[in-house]
Amino acid sequence: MTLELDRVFSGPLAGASLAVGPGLTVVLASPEDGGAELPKLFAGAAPKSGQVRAAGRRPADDPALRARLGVVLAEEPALEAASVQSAVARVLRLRNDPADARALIALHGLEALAQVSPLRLDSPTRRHLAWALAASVRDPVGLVVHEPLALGPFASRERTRAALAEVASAGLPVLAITRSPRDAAELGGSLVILDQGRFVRRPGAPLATELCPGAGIEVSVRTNQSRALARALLEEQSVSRVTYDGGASDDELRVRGSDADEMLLSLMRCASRTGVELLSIAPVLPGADAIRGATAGLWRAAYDHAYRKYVSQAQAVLPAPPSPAQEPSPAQAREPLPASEAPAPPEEGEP
Amino acid sequence: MTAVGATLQVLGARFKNRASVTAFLSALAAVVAVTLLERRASSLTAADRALGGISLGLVLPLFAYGTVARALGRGNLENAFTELARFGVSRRTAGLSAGLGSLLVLAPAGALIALLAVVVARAPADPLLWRDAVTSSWIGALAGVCYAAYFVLGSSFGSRGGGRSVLFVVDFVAGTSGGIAAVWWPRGHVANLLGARPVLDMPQWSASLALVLLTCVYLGVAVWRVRR
Repeated sequence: MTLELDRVFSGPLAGASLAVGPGLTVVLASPEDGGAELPKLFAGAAPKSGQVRAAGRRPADDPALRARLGVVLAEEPALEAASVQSAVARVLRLRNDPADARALIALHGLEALAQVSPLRLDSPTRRHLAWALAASVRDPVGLVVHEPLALGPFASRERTRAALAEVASAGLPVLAITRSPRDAAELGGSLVILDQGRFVRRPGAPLATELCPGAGIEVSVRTNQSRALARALLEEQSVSRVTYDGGASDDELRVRGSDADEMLLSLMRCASRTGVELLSIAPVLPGADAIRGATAGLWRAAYDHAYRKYVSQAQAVLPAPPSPAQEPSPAQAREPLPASEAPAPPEEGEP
Repeated sequence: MTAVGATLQVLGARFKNRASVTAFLSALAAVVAVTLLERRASSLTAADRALGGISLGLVLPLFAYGTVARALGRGNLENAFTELARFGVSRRTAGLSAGLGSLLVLAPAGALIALLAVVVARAPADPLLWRDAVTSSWIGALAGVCYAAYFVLGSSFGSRGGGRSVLFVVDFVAGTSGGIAAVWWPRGHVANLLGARPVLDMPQWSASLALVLLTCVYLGVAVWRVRR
């Protein structure tokens, strides 16, 4: 079973194509990049153009398929019913699911809200309720969840993560969309970056270096003597930046270097030399803006590479420039190159 | 059946509020007030003018417009029941159920609006009171049903169901022409049933048939336009 998008234009999505196979796939995207649009499409919204398919069928035209897709939207509308329990019972009836609504609500820790009107639920709790319904689909064909680790105060990150992993390990496609690199790292699975409406790249592991390739690595270090360690690190050549805030987080400093191994060796050396005890070292994931910047840089590099290749091909094909004595007439100069000999110029935005 | 029941449940939740009751009471109050003025102007023609004017000419189309808009959550027919469609309900089933639900609401409402106009316009001792009341009631019910289907069709156009407003204006403008342009809209046929100038000189009995046919066509086209 797969979840597929084929050149989809819808809202911010601008020609997005992706095929999600069995297992967990995490899409790193902000709502402005089209992250919020993906669950809508799998919930049955029709794209402006392109194809959205789940298990080879289109959710926009197939009610039976929609019933078997678990979806949590970025912004869940309030279910129109007298109480949360009656709304859940109605959904279970629509799915021909004999499960008990009260038990399902209690399973997700929402029993205190069972008799509350869904209109009175806040946005995160509505999403939590939608997650409860999405996770309880019998015989599902896939799961599409927006910000699975931000389901409100009643939800547990660990339980949600475990539930997603369980569905993924059962061989079903699970698509989790998040704007947080930290959540993406915590969720695991394969990562895809959606940038300005297009899926642009699949960073590998480790995310700390692969999200922004070439930008080095930054680690957060907790010690008992941050000031002394910071002073020692400043003398190391493999360390490009040390951020030390002597205020509230006195025991923490951030160290950046272009080579992870070199930088960590320097860190150990400095700690050993100064007698500072290292309490923890954790990689710092780059922010969304840095990732977007890295993507733009990669695009530019790919374009420049293709352009240079085109120029060198053109130089090889074109005759050498004539000497001033043999300069051709203007009519000769305008004569076009035969189509078979002219190399195709690279298109803007094509790596 | 589960899908129909679920749609009717949502419809009920949308209607069950103070705004719906206020709208209906305001409609009845407007009918009573204007009919009393008509009666003061001329008690002989007050019933005809009230039925063709304020009650079935203005208040019923307006009330039907508002009722359908409320039934569809002020949106487009296709997207009015997204919450159910997500869980496996066909949007066509939901749209048809919503249309039929609106019909069920507007039939008695139309009958009541027409009945009220007759009862207020005619004196209690008037020998024509009960005959007129019964006749006007079924005309009102039929008009309510037809207007419900008409606005359901309008709601299938536009991302927010803006076609409703367009059809409301079209009915007002083209429906009063009495020519070929009036055949397609409810207004001319309702007026024909009330004894006004018939559309294309059609006999009065054919107006009822036209309203029934139009209701079926409006609803059928509206549902056909909705994606599954």
